[in-house]
Amino acid sequence: MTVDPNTTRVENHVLLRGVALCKRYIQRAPFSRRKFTVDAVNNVDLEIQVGQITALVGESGSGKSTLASCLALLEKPDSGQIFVEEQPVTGWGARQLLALRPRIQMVFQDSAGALNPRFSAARVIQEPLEVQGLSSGPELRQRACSLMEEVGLSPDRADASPLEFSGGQRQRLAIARALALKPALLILDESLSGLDLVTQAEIMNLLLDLQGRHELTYLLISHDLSMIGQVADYIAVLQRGMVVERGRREQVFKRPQHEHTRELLSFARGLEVAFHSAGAEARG
Amino acid sequence: MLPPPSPTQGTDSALLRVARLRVTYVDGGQSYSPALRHVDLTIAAREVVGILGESGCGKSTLARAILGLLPRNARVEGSVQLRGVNLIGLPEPGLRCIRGAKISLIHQEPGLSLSPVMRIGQQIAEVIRAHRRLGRNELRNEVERMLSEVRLSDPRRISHSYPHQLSGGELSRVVIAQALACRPDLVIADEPTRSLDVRVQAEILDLLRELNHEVGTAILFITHNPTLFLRFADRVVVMSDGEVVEEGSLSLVFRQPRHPYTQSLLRLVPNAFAGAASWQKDTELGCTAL
Amino acid sequence: MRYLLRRLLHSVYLLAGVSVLCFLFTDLAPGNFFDEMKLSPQISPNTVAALKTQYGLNRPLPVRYLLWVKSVVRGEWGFSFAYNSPVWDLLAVRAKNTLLLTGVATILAWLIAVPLGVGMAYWRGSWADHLGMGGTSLLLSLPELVLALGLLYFAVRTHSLPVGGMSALNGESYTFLSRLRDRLAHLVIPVATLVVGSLPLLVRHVRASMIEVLDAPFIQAVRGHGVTAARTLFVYALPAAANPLISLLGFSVGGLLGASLLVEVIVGWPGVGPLLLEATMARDLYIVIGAVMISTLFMIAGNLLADAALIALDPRVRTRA
Repeated sequence: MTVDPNTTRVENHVLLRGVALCKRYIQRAPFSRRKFTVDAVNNVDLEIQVGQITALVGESGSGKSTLASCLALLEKPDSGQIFVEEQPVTGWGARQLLALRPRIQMVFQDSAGALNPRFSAARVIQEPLEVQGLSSGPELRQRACSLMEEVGLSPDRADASPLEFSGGQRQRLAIARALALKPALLILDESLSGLDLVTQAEIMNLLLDLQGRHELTYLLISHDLSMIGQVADYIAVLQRGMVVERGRREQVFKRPQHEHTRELLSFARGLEVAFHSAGAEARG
Repeated sequence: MLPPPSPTQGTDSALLRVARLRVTYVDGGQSYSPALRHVDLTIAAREVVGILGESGCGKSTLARAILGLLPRNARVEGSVQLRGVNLIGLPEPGLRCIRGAKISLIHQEPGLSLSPVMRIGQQIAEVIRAHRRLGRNELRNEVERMLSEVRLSDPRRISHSYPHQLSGGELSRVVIAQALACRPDLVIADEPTRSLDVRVQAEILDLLRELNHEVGTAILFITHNPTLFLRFADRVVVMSDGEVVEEGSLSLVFRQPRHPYTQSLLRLVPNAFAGAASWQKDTELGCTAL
Repeated sequence: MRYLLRRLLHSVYLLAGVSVLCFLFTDLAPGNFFDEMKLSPQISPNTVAALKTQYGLNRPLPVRYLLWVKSVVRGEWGFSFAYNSPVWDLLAVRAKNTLLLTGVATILAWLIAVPLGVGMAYWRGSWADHLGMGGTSLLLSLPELVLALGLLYFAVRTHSLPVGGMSALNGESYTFLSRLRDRLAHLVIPVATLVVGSLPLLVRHVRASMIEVLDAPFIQAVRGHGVTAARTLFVYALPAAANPLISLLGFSVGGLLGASLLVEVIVGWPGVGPLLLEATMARDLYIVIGAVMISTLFMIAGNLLADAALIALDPRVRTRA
């Protein structure tokens, strides 16, 4: 039973494109001369097609989050170009970018850290709308409550603090906030890591549901190949800041070219196979 | 070289026996619904037991209750017997002798379990010093021995480092070294690999299994991910909503889960390589408005 | 390292700026040293004018400033009209006394504040905590003046402590130990005033910082290892809570310095305070400026030391690479 949400899509144009992106971090301790250079993103090309789920896979330190920040226009790459709907945005100032921001929204891994604990849940969702000056007053509240319902949270909890929610509920809240500005692209940076299986399944279901309803495009970033393998259309594998393999899901899974991909795949496959053969018989 | 944990004494062959454990949180005069309803659990010496359950089922509360680490407003009923000695209600000095020395706890997020302003070596030394008297040199040697036992190369460098200089995998190993420093009889690992890459998770679990063989420490491993048990556990205990719903050997529980909760949980394990999605839109697992 | 050097440079700018401001303000204030003399019928206006010219008081402001700077470079720091001597000789002695007083008060205040704050944080919400919070509120609202006068009254009434001055009148003839005791006895009242005055702020900050750290996961983890409470508090929690407290230390030096000037005058401690007061009343220009500069110098030095300590002591900052 394969989930294929974009069978209805016919056009295949590129929503977000990154070309030759580079980002480097230099660290130096205060009393020493030693410099420590990290090429977090090293000459990366990436295309995100409309309506698809593109996945960025890599281990810790591979540069996934840095790349995500650059693509989300939250950080400026040291070199390279970014095109949003074929429009180059390199060198754009903060004000120009402000107009673009509603199109690309991000959901982070650590929802407790990403959501202001002093805000009520409704305020968390309203904040982006206020910043963009899109609506005000009772309209805001209404929109916040309807978004909460859409992500499966009860609007009765609109005044609760994010800390009172469980991990999964907080992620739903973060998704609601991301949806407030009606984005075209949602970047999910390890948003499902650290959640237990049940919650992961629920959130993933929600995301697939929302994708159909709002015509969203997803960039899913994770280290969990098993999870990616169930939903992604297109996969790019990152190792030490470079894309070592890219392709459609079937291609990457069935005919991996790069050694690192093969490593990751064999490991994930090993776990799955062991599990499913251990419990192959009658499982309700 | 520390001796392995002492053999079981008396007629009670179980290392740890939890009986009718119930934990309720109280706020003022009002009590909330119990975090643990009725938990019975037995762990034999040198055994590896896995507790499986989702967030909120009470797994962490169980771990804390065993060591008396619950907050002040927790009401605990039932008994937790360590070789016949009831830990519930034991006064603080007694509990302190148990913690770290007889039973150790490894938390989620190893990075957060360590002080950011103290060196690694010092933090391991502190655990040893809390329970034994050793001279400075002996202490240092012991620390480095523990670090190499958890398969960290270059123990001296690690010992002098601060937590922020190490990777997630290295920090996990350091925390394990801390937990084993005094050769406890039981190590409770509360989702110790949650924030790590899948591969690093597997490495850490392999390490724990090897240490269980070598040192003989029993392990109580808590997680939400069934696949992790495969490398690892002798027995599986499934918890849901504050109680134990199923229990048995690993193959038994995975092959023939009896409780509906276990069944639906196991169904969620990814099957991406077979081309199937484990998620179905109509999975009835609490997808209602929360 | 570069950061510290930059801070040092900024400090120099700051000192220069303060000196200019000093000059401007003292110029704004009406009158000068010799105005008193004008009132006396025995001194003719010509003499006054001649004296003014001699001391350069009729020169324009920028010229006077430059002359003063030259004097600073020479090590004199200007000239006192009243005492008829270079300012530095007068200030140096007084500055040492103020430094002694402020130093002792700072150390004592922190020695008391830290255990108090740690204890209150540990027993947060208990009656001890509430008592401490109430007590600090009370002390906060108590003016130092009242405190100092109260102590003086007590000292006079019970003859238990010497009142005024730094040492007994014939102190030169005492043995070393006796002199030490004597000095300490004289220190009691001013130090007590300063310490009690600054305790509330320090205690509250220590408490707040500790509470934040005590909620951190690693403290829970330490508890799980069987470490005693005392050790957890002082070996684990306190160092982790130290950052904001070190900054506060730098700040508290400045605060204590300001308070000490007042206390010195009330209690009769021969520090910069009484000298400054006297000079201000008499319009003894260069002493005023010199005293202000010394105080500023102490403050800047205190803050700079605190910043350096912060960099040196926090391993996260120190060993990033």
